[in-house]
Amino acid sequence: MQRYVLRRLLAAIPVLWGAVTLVFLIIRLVPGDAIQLFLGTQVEMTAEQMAELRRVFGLDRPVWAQYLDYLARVAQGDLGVSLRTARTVRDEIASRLPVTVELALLAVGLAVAVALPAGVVAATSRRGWVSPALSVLALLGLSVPNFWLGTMLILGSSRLGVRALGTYVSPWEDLGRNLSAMLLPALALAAGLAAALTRYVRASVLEVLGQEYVRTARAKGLAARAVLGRHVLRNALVPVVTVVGFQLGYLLGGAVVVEEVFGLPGMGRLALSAILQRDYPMLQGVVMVTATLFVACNLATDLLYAWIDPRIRYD
Amino acid sequence: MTEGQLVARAAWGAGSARAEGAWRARWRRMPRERRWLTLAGAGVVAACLCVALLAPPLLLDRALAMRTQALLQGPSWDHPLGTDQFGRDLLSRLLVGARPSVLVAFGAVGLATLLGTTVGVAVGYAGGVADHLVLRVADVLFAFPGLLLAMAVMAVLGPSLGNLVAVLGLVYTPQFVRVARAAALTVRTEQYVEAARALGASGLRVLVRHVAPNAMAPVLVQVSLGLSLAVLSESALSFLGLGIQPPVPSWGNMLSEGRQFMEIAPWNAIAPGLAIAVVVLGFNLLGDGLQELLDPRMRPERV
Repeated sequence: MQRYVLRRLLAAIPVLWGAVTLVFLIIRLVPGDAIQLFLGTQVEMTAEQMAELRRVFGLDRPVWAQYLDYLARVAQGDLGVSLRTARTVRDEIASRLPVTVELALLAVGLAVAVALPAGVVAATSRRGWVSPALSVLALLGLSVPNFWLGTMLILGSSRLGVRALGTYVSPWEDLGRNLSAMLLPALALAAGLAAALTRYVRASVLEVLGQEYVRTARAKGLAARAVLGRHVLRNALVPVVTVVGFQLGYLLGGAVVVEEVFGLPGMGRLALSAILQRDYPMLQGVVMVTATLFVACNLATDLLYAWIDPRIRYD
Repeated sequence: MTEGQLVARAAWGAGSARAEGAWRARWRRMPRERRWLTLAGAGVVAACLCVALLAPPLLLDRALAMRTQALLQGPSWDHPLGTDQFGRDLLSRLLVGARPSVLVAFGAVGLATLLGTTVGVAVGYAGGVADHLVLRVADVLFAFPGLLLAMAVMAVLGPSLGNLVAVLGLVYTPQFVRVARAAALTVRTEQYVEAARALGASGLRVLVRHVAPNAMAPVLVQVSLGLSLAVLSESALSFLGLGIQPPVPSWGNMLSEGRQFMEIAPWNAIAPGLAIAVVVLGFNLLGDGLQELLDPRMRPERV
């Protein structure tokens, strides 16, 4: 196990290096002069002042020197300074990250709570209308865009006279108000995930139901409930862990649009405002942090999976 | 018999004919409601293509004409879905808005398929250093949530239809690389490939004539899922203001504008989202059906 953990940790390093490099390259794709673009057309500046700015931001040096400098700073956790607020990108992200993480965790929790029973029922009740109805519902859930679902939730609750858009409060401050502001966004984000998970759980349970040890368990006269609980679910739910883990990382990025719809001050809106204000250091930082979290989530999932199911370590 | 004919026969016997027969048999064995759902999906996709082709020349004037005396009206005989905040006919805008979605989805997925499948099949068949390198690059691209990566690149390049196609195409390419590579790895060990090689066919010839065609089934399923994801991504980017720009109507930017007036004229927010959902559902139904037809055990990638 230790060797496996070490190997996976080492394998994550080149991926992170590649991601950091890619972000550097994307930002350098900006057509034209970055300083000119940043200042816009309103600001009048002499050529000397522009050159001075370029020197301050290190843009007068060759690209490879900028790149090495950038790598060194990123490795030390220095993500630069926002061009708009003059705060460090790291502080800005640290204040926004908890919102997005909470939103993603809530959405995953809701999705799992719905998808596990729904998937098992869809797989086990093979006659009647329940299973096909769940299949169609799951497919619908995959097809509805989350930003529209969020919009409809807002519209619906305002028609019902419920105040949908609470202002965000930190959960440590007032958990009740925090949850009331987070519930609808989490629902909007959870729907698609619940649908995907339901389909996955169903497929996984169906696969296990066809295994010989299930037939053996049945043949020896074990009650249907015991077969399901002891043999089917235990084996069927192991791969589900992977999907949930991967989706958690994915939601950290997918929350952008939902945060925008509900006006939540998370990472997604930070990225969007950085884009609209041409705050490239900020955009660079947000994309990089999200990618790092994503890789970390996937790594943690792999390790958890190896811990649950010892067989896969030898692959 | 020449090498080509011999191998063609071998491939025919081992691959396509058997597969074709198997598809037909699986289609017949599919439960009736699944067959209907697949056909319904194909119907929705076909209808969407027709609308995207026909609506702009017929309805563009109507979709852009502003009528200040009829702002944010409810459904009526003249305007079946009502009007938006500039008095433009919502139904016309909705139909015209199908074109950017279809263009971006097919363009991006076409690009990703071409690029990803070529690279994936080639490295899957060849193996070695190239294979290793390509997988590592795909890993790096997979380290980003797709939408965020697309947002960042669109922000840098600026919003335009061509950029949308290029950016989403590149974001989706790694999925196609993985699917095509996995398929090529299986096909590589088939007897007809061995036969072709034994008969002295060059590596490139085996790759193009035998490996690639027989690795297409999973790619096809991935195409239809990719299309549904691309429609969602395009509308999300347009919703955020990074995709199709107003006044050109697209479902994403219509929803974004309609949202501000939805208390007065809810259809402006409801209709674009419904259109997206229906089209995506169509692609998903078609994709599910194709998957069951081509290979019921294969799991496509959904990222």
